[in-house]
Amino acid sequence: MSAYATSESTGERFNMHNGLSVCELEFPAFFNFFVLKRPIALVTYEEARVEIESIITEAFVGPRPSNLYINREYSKFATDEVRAAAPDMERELRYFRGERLGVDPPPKMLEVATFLDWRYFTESPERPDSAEAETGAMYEVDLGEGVRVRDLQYGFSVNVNGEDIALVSDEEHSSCFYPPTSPFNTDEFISTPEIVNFEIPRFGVTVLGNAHGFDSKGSTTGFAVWVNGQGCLVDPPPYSSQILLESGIQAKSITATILTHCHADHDAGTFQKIITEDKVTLMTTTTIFASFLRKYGAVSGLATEFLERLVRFRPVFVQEPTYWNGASFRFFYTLHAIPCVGFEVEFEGKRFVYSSDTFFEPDGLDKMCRDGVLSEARRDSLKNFPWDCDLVFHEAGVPPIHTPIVSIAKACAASGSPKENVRLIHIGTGQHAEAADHGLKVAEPGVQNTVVLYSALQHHDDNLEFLQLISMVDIFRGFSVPQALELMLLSKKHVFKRNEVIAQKGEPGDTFLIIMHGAASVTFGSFKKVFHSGDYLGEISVITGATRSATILCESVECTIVEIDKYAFNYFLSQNRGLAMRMDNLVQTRSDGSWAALSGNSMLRGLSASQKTLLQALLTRRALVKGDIVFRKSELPNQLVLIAEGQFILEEVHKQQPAAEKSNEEDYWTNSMRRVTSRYGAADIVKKKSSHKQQRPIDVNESELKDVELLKTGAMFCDVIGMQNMLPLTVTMASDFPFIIKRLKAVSATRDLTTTVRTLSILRRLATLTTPLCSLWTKRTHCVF
Amino acid sequence: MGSGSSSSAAAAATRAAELEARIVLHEAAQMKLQKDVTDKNEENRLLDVQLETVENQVDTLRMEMQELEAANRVLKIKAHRMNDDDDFTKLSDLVEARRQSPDDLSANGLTGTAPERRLTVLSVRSESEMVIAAEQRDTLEELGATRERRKRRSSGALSSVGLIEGTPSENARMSSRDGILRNAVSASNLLSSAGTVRSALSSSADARRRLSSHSIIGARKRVTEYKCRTPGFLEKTLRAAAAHTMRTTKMNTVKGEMLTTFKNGQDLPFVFLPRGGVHVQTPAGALQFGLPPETIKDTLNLGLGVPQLFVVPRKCTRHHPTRSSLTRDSEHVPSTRLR
Repeated sequence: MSAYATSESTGERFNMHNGLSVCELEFPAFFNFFVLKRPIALVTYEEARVEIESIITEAFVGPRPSNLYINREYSKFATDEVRAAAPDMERELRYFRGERLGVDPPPKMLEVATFLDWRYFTESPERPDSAEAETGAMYEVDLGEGVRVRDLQYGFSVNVNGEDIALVSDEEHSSCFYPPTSPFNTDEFISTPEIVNFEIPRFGVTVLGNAHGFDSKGSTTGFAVWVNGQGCLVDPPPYSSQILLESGIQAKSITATILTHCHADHDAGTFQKIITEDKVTLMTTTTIFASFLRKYGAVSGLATEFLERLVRFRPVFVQEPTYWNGASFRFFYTLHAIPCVGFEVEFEGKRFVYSSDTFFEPDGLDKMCRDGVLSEARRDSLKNFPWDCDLVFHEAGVPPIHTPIVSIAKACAASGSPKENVRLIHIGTGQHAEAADHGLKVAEPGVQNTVVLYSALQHHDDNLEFLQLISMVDIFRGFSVPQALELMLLSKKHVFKRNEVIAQKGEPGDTFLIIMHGAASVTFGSFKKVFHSGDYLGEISVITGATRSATILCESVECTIVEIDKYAFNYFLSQNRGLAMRMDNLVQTRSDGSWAALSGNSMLRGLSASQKTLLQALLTRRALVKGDIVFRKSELPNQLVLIAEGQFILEEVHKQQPAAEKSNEEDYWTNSMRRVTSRYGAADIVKKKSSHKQQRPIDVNESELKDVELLKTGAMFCDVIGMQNMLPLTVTMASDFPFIIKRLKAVSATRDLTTTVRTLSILRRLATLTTPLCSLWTKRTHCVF
Repeated sequence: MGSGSSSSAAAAATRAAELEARIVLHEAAQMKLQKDVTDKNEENRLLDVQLETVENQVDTLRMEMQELEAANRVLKIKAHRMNDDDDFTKLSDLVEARRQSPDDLSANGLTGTAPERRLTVLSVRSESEMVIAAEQRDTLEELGATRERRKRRSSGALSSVGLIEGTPSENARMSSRDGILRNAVSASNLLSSAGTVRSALSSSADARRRLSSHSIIGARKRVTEYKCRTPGFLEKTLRAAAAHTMRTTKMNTVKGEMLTTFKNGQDLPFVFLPRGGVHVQTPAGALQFGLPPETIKDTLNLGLGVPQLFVVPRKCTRHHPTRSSLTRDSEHVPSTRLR
């Protein structure tokens, strides 16, 4: 077995922490092939070839014919005319790869293999002298000119004429950063989003990026469509949530995404978006979604079934209304190298259309029709682009898969619709001048450039707004319609001006506050926390009757607060037993040190405020003394442990196993564990055998945990695989005396003996919710954070 | 009247004599008291002198005790290393080895040739791990401090604390945020900055206090608050460098010349790309590790061009229940596909 499969490195092709692929080969490959006229050379193990090819195939060749579900994407309501205009997708994709029927000799079609060059790691004749000696072999690849790349198992070294010139750790290899940063950044990045008074419009569009993938200056195309106070991100660029947050827009106000197609400059941030906060709705066609799943399944190594669970996929029917948040979306297939959809949205009489990536040039379309690539109906439907919409976002780029600017100008003139309504997007910074020459505007990115479509039919409905608000608050989300109605009748609305005191410290906290619009801040010492629309405050004091622990100030120009008094709140709690228990738990957890535990954990620290609240509501407290067992080997795992205080050991790891305790269940352990841990493979097993001949044959879990230090505040432990597959635990965890003598002196004896453990049983639910926990879920057998 | 006045005068004289006698008595008492006080003072002084002597003795003893304790800790660490060898300790040993003369080394038993083990680091675990590492360094550092006190050596340099103080070392600062990142931070620089950390620590009681407070808090605070973009990366590179150096320059270890391989490290054309990944210039052409989204924009903006050679990151776990197998995937269609 080569090091490819045996490595237990942290390096991965998918950076789970950021939710991004770090194996984005498409644009480097395209750039090398189309611009520099050479194949891209990939240095990897031969076993990786199939997967890597499958990643790039989805983007370059598109789905295989058997994976095209075009016909089934037209509903039973589709008329004959609509069906006649359906694309012959297979034929179109082959055309873009160079197929020309009736030409003799037939031109060569582009294949993935033509622009990929492979350099494989092979076993080195050199024997490693110490560290790798146990693994038996060293893998390296000779790149010529005396350059060799060696696999050091924890990273790679670049060796020139026998001398190492670079060492790259796996972690750095799979790294990705936002904001783009130098490795030794001296300025600390402080994430205190500035409060911008951006009020989400009833209907509008905010552009996040307007460039294409080859443009080195601009960021890739993506925008948010605002409808009725909520946002739908179209092809979210990487870190779109952070970009929006910097403009004061909360991630939770984005409740849907649209994926137009699976090119890296359109889908790279989609995965990140769907696992960052709560589940979002993903709207696209089945063909595109399946392609997306295959591509990201191959990149991340996650099963497509699992990926599918991360998102609320809403398959759309082509040329038929899809309703979201009161707006009607009509999707249509555009003409591109891979299946790609554009859409038109209508809301309160206003219309917005996005061309997505497409080729649009009437003469070219006619030619393709003559060549038999497009049917007449398909050609006409492509020609009939709705230029008359109130706002048109059209792409511009280089034919044959993009639209030249000149044909957009001509089409506008021909249709008689004003050029002011058209914004060019997916356009290189170099082309801006050309656009201006044709009197066309470029869609400018940024919240300040948000295009708002005002409707004559516009009406303001408080009740609707209220219902939308409580659907954003996790406490009330599960309410039935009668409950929601009751809540609406019991609540009161107040408007505050900037710097006005919403609640004073020390006053009785007898109201539960939800922020409807604007922002409010709470200051604890030097730390100021800002809450936004949809956040709530005072949930503890309405239950306990305590006084306000801090003053709440209005931070925005105007802040609308919905108040529910404690009597009403407790009435709702009494109606909903599950909610009451959760809130009780939350009150307890908040007061006894869970903040310290959460902030002590590198993964949990990154959760958003509402996610932390959710987690706290799920935790229960357990006090232990020295020697108490938290969980025992061979029990079924059913909990996740987060250490609040004290020190814990894993007995099989931190203590020598007495020889007498060896069980004869060895075969069972070996079999059940091998399945789980075979990624450690031969290397570890050989090593284990050689170094511990007398001990249990292979306990690979132990090898993973071997260098785990004592567990302290913030450490989280769970057996993910065991929980999922009902496998017994392989280690015992117990509380322990501190290890360092100095510490014994420092803290009193009694405090040492009492330790607190928190347990969490509803991990599964959370795991699909957040990126950090998602990585926990998928990465390791036992996790210590 | 005359007899009356004479009798009253006599009474006054008696009274005066009485008072005088009392004054004398008081004076005597006072003098006695004063003498007593002087005596007591003298006694106290003597006692003070005695106490000082005893305290001096205690000090000496305490110093000895500390020395013994420190030696004991080193032994403990060694014992601990026998079970679970920590590479970071090894690195500290290396640095220590570099700082000290060989006979010092043999006296401490820190020869820097602890048995090699494969490096397995879980990235996310790095914080608690660093705390332990810090504690071990702490004890090592105390040993150094005691020795220094005894030898009445002057304290070492405090200036370029790279890892602990939160300010990057000069080497690290070279690649400034906005500048072109051509300045490579070579492993040798990193190692030497670790060396300065050690020396700075052994002299700075402040830093020591900070370290120990970190240890007590637990995993909460990162000991190495260096502004490195990947937590643990610097550490890892250090480990890599240490392990590698140990392999390649084993013969020179005893002489304390550890870093021959990385001597010219500063000339290396590493570039850490802003969005992630590493760009390395080699005679065979530019080589890039890692491909985050929009990575070509980075290399184009930095004037490096788009490399032709890319080292693809490893694949993660195989055979995981939630992991895919390709054959199944290619047939998989979303279950919610069709209504």
